[in-house]
Amino acid sequence: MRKGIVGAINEYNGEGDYLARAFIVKAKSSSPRNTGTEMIIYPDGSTSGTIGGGRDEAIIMKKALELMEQGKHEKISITLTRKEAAEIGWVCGGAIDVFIELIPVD
Amino acid sequence: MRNIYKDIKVAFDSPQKAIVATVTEVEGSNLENVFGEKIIIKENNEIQFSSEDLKKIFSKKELIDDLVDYLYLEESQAKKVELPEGEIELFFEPLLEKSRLIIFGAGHIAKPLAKIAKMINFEITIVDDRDEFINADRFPAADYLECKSFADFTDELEVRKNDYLVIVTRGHQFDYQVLRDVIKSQAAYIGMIGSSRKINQVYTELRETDKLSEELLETVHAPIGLEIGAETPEEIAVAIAGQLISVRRGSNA
Repeated sequence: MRKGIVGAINEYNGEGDYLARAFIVKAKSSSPRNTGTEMIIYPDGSTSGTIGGGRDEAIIMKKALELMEQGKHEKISITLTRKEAAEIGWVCGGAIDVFIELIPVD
Repeated sequence: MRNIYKDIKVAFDSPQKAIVATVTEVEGSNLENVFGEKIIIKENNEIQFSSEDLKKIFSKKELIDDLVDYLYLEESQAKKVELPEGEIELFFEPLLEKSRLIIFGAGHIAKPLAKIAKMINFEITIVDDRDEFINADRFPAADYLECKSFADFTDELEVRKNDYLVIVTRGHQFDYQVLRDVIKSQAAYIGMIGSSRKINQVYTELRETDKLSEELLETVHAPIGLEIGAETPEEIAVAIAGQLISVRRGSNA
C-alpha cells in the first residue's frame, strides 16, 4: 500500500458517498503489472495512481462507479489474451484480478 | 470503514513495521459481512480490526498468532486462511515506501538490471515506446511497464526524492531528451550509459542548447555504474546495481 494513496483517501473532502480503491490481487504471467498495484477512483470519475492505464483502467473505473451506486465491494477478473489485446490495439495485454474496495466518505 | 484509513496512516507514519490485510474473498456461512473489511497488524502484536464481526472471528489465540506471522511479508500478496466458519482470502499489503527505479530503455541492459534491482528491493518501472520490447515475458520482475514515448512519460512523471533514474535508451538523441527532462528533478540518482564520446555529445548539447551549468551536469552518474571493468550486459547491470546500493546506503564507493 502506498503512502500517497492512503494520504489521498484521508484528505478527500469532495462530493459523493464513496471513494473506491482498486488493487491488483492476482496478476497472471502475461500481465505487465504486479500484485498490489493500486489506484483511487473518485465519484466524479477522476483517478489517482495507476494500474497500467489503457483499457483495464477504463473497465475498473466504470465498475467502481457502478459499485458506488450500490455501496458494495467486489472482486473482478479482467482477462485478455495477447491476440485479443492486439486486435483492439492494446499492446500491454494481460490478465488480472482486481479488488474494488469502497470507502465511505465522512 | 473510512476510519480504518486514519489508523493506516498512523501506522504508516510510525517507525514500527505494519501490514494491512483486506478480506478479498469469503466462502462459508455468515462470513459475507466481513467481505472487504480490514485488519492492521503491527510489530508490537497490536492488531486493529475495521469491524466487530471480523474481530470476533479472529478472537481465538491461534488465529491471532497466524496473523502476526504475516507481518514480515515483503510483497503484497493474497493468502487463504482457514476458519471454523469457512475460508477467507486475506490480501496483505506491507506499509512501506520502496525506492523506485525507473529504467529508460527496455534494451539489453534493462533486462538483467530489472532482475537484480528487484532482488535488492527496488520498485521497478521500465519505459520504452517499442511494444515488442516491453512485455512481462521479457521483464517478469517489473512492477510497471510503460509502452509510451519517453517524452510522454517524462511529461507525466513526478520525480520523488527516493527515485533512481537509469538512462539506457537506444540512441543518444533519446538519452539527451530524457536527461534534459529529468536533470533538474529531486531524484536521488540519475545515471546515463555511454562511451565518453557519446556522453560528451549529450553534455555539449545540454550546455549549448539548454544552457545547463557544470554543477548540474556533475550530479549525473555518467559513465554509469561502479568501475569494476564490466563488459557484458549482465556485468554492467551488476555495476549499476552496485552504484544504486552505494547511493541508497550513503556510501562513497
